[in-house]
Amino acid sequence: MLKSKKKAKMSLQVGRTLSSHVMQAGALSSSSHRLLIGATGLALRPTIDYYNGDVDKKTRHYAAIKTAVKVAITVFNGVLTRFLAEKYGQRLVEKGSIKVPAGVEPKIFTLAVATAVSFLATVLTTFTLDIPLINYGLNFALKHILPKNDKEVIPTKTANGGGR
Amino acid sequence: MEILKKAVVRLAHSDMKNHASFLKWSTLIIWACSLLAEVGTFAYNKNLPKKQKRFIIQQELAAGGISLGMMYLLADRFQKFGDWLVSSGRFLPKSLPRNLRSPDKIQKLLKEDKHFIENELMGHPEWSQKLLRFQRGSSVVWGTLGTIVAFNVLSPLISNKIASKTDKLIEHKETNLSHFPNSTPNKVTKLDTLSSNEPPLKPGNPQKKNTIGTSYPPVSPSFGRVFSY
Repeated sequence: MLKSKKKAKMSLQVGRTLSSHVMQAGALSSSSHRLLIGATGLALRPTIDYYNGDVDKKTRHYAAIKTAVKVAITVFNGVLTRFLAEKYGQRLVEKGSIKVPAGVEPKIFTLAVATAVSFLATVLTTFTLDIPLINYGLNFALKHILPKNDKEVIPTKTANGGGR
Repeated sequence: MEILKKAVVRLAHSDMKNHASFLKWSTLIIWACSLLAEVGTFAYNKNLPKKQKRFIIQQELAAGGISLGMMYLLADRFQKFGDWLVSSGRFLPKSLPRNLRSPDKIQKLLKEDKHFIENELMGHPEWSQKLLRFQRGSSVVWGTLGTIVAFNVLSPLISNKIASKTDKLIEHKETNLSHFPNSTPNKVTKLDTLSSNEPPLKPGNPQKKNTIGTSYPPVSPSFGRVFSY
């Protein structure tokens, strides 16, 4: 008797709107998933790096800027690549290039193909797009965003004896 | 092209089996790839000062290793927790009829038990499908939450600790080495260049010869310079 009372107290029952949102989350696209992780990461990761008490202030600056640049670029790239790849995957199914197997709901199969294509495309763009963009973004941030005192320390090509 | 299509279909089938699992594994693989790529990028960046570069690379490697491990553990646990919440009847849609809310009936609904559907649901599997969709959603929501906590909160916190410790260790080693100034190549060359600025010894000048001291064992020019002060 007591047990059943406890169970009844602990169960959480959600209304129609929230339960429909939960059901929709079951078909969460890869791009939305990345956006959720990326948006929270953009807010949290540089903040954690900036308030890291174990290193000196300058290193904290560098680490926070590096993280912000990295997260911003990877999120933008990741979401865009996934979104475009999902659209391409949907098209493949709609055009009939990839046929829906018998006994499978077309909507679920389309989502699955879109997710699969976006996964493959993201692995490819991680190596081809992310690296040059992060490098460019990091150089830009080091030259333009850091405080003036920090900038003077940065060895540039000319200060390094013509980029030896 | 055909190979690519086959790969896509195979991946799509594994995604259909468990969407939350597929999202978790794909994030894990993509993260591993980007970790390798990013460490390479920072290592070859010419504008990063040496000290900061060293710290950042260590931070990247530590963050990557921890994120991968933690993401696997946390996302997996959270995802299973989301599944369990529904299958144990602790997280349910309000609209589910009261007579279907007991854990054993929920288990049968989730397994799409044909006998149960025919007898209790009068051959209408709608509630079974709805609850399955709800469970799928719950596992995706909790799995994503686990990924966010692992990725964006725990891994930067722990990796920062590890990176600063390894950085301090390397710094300590470097300062220990610098206690022996003559062993560092920079100082020797500096003294050598100073002594090489002296006017060359003339063969017929005995006074100059005596400043280094012929009775002493052979002494390096830099040492001679230091002693003459």
